[in-house]
Amino acid sequence: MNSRYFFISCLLPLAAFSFAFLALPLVRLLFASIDSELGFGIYLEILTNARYMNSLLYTVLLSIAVTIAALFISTTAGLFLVRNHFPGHRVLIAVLTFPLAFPGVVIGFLIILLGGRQGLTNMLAQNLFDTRVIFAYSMTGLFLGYLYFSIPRVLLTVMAAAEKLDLSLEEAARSLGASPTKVLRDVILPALTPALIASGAIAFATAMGAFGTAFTLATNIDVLPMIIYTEFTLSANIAMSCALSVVLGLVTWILLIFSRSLTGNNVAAAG
Amino acid sequence: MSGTQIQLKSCSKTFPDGTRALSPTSINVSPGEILALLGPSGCGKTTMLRIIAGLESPDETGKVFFDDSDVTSIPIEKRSVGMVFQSYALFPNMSVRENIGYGLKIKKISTEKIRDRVDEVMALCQLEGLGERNIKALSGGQRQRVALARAVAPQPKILLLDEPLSALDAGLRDQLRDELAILLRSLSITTVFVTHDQAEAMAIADRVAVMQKGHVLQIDDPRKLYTAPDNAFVARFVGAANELSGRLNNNLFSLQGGSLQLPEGISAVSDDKIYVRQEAIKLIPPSESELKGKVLSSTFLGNSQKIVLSDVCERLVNVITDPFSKYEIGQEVGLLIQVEDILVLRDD
Ligand SMILES: Nc1ncnc2c1ncn2[C@@H]1O[C@H](COP(=O)(O)OP(=O)(O)O)[C@@H](O)[C@H]1O
Ligand SMILES: [Mg+2]
Repeated sequence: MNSRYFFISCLLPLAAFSFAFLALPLVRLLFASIDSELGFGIYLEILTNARYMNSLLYTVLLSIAVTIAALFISTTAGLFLVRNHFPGHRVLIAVLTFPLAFPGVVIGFLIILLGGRQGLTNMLAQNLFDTRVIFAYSMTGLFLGYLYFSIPRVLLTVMAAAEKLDLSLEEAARSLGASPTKVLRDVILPALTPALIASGAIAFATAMGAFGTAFTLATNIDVLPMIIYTEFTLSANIAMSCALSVVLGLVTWILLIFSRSLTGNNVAAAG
Repeated sequence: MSGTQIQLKSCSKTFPDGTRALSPTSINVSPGEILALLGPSGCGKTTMLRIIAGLESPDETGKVFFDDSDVTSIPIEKRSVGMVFQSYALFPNMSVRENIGYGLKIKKISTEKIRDRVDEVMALCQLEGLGERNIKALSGGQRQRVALARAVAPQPKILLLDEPLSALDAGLRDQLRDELAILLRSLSITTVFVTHDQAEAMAIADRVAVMQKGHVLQIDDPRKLYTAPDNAFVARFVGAANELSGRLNNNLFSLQGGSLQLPEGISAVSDDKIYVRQEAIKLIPPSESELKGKVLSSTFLGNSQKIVLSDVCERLVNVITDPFSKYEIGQEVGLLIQVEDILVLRDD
């Protein structure tokens, strides 16, 4: 009995925190979202508004694309970095995880410096081929920016998991005739799957809600956080921005639960 | 015997950090033979096994042959070796059946043939009915058999086992040792297995290679190793041997507890030590022997008893004798040792 109380009391700080910072504001948000003449109808309004729905779709697709690209790049790089030690190894890892230190706004600037009107690629293209190459202010720019700050998070998780891989499993597969690609498919990736899904979920959630980068690149990018911002500040449509926030949160949450259930199945299959 | 011959030609192994795990070693394993690599932890057994497997390459001069073909530079996946790892290394994301069938699946064998072969191997390894089980839901003994079944399913040329029983607890180990011995013999694949347990080596192997600090000291069949060890290390490691220290003078070996007459020409005893197996010492009345000792303890072992003697030489002497003779603590006894049971050995 004592230990049960102990465990319950261990949960108290989390419960208090959740209540103060999650439950209360969320309830507040929900009430604020129906605090207009539309009432709950505001959600119907969102569902039938092409601009909102397109924006939601873009945001989800962009986040999925960023997540997949980050997983791919980080898995290959992470495995390589864990398996190969060379001079400058530590420095390279430090450089790769550097973007963690930047806020979204700074990453937006970096993308403009690279692909903006005065950006590096545009200048090169103009000088060399006499064409204009500007991608900073589009989905491409946003994709690159999000990818840039997603990679370190995924990379660190993948590397931690890759360090713990059981080498004798790979040797066993090889002894049974498996080529390196088959070892990757049958042994390494299944073992990394929980880490990939966990870090992928974080990358996805971050991309769904990222604002700073989108705000810096601005102009014609319609990701949902930007729409929420404009509804709030420009149109002063507080109910709508609250409703959109609820939708954004809900969609992200549902997709995360879906991915978690994938891990669940995987872990169950792995025992 | 059918099967593949293994030949190591002056294979040594120096790891990048400078550790010399194996000194130049040449051994032959005949087709169908079961060879045990026996030695204390860290003596290079696993390294040698991994060189045969192709998981480790020998230093430059070394060569590995399977029959007549030089496989030194062939990677493990092309060597057709079955391997059982110390930790078993079963794939956690696959069922028992998928584990056992993995090597066959890699070979792109048809699903029906895989099913038949897996059934056959599961029957052989007493794994019937466990096919759909998860690896985590198996006992230690079952895991060991799945690891073996997975290794033999693709019909490898050579079977390599690294301490296959060391992960099991003692009681189970004795039982599985005998089962493994029978199973390996029925497979008649050329087999090399690593162990630090001399009883395991003797029970399973046709020949045993005793290793110490990266050297193979002696390769012989278990009986020969026991009765004619090449040196003191082998004598002590393979079946315990008593070390008697004394002084040799004109074939008369004098010890604390008396003397022993040694045969002519045995004068080359190094360090004035001789070795005698525990069961080669007979206990007789003290008046009938030139060599005497005092009973320190007696332990009844069921089919025998172990007597520990003091005052024979500096060390205590262990004697295995019949279980029913009674010995009192402190009692004086005489020692009878046949000349042919005295092992005169190079020191290690
Ligand atoms: N990869 C390695 N790098 C450096 N030293 C190693 C490596 N593998 C084994 N060794 C060393 O080589 C020696 C023999 O190891 P091993 O063959 O595993 O011994 P055993 O299997 O007989 O216990 C040990 O001293 C061990 O520490
Ligand atoms: Mg070992």
